[in-house]
Amino acid sequence: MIMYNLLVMKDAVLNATFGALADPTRRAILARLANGEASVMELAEPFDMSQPAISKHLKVLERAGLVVRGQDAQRRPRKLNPRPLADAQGWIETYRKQWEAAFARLDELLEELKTEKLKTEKKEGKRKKR
Amino acid sequence: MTENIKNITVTITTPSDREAVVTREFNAPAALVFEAVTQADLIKRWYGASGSLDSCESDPRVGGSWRFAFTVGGKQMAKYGVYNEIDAPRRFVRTERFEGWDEYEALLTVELVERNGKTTMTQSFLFPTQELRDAVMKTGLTPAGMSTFYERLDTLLASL
Repeated sequence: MIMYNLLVMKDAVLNATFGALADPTRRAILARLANGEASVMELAEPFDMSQPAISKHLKVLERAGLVVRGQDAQRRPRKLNPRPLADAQGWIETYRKQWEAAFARLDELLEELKTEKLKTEKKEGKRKKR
Repeated sequence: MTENIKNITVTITTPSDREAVVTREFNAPAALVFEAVTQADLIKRWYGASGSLDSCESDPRVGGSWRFAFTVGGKQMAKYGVYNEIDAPRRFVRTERFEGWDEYEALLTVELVERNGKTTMTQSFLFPTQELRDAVMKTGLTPAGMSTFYERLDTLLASL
């Protein structure tokens, strides 16, 4: 149960991440912030959107933990927080790696089985000739 | 020999909210792959880390049961279920439950396609909810995945 609850908690975080990434404007904001922090005004500029509209998107990004506020109290710049993004990618990658490891062992077994089969066939072949 | 094989060989896709699909090609005919994934004595030789299964039972007939038992972090656990469909060496469908994690439930469909002596195996896991699918993908629910998970859980609990 502990395990399940912890995973459910983690899920909520991941769902927020994926939800935040579903919108093209929010992805563009993240791309812009990847180049360095920016104020709401600076972020609104290239999008042809009002500051309140941009603020709304920023709120979603902040809730998902993707964007955090910088130090400057006057400008209130926003900064990218890459941690949740790494989690979302790491999630599938961890699962994939486990299968890689399991299947590497299955490869070895299949090679052994092929060799065993070849040996039996050779024996049977000799028997048939006689 | 394995150094020549490129690192990424497994493809993971999520065609719907409740599915996880694992695809991989094997350098062996389908009949052999089918045996390796359905016969108990062979499953034991590759599933989980070497020798990590405490016991392995598998009766690949319609209505036949299967059970893989293993110990993780001192805790005994087991995956088990029933084969619903068998069409050797092309396809089988089985149910999956988990002793030690009651919420776990899945329907696994395995399909094998052979071409030029090589076989592509597609494992489709269908879960009752998206939450469960996501949780499973994070642990993998293999003995190796579970140990990693428990190590992480221990570290986390120690830090609280």
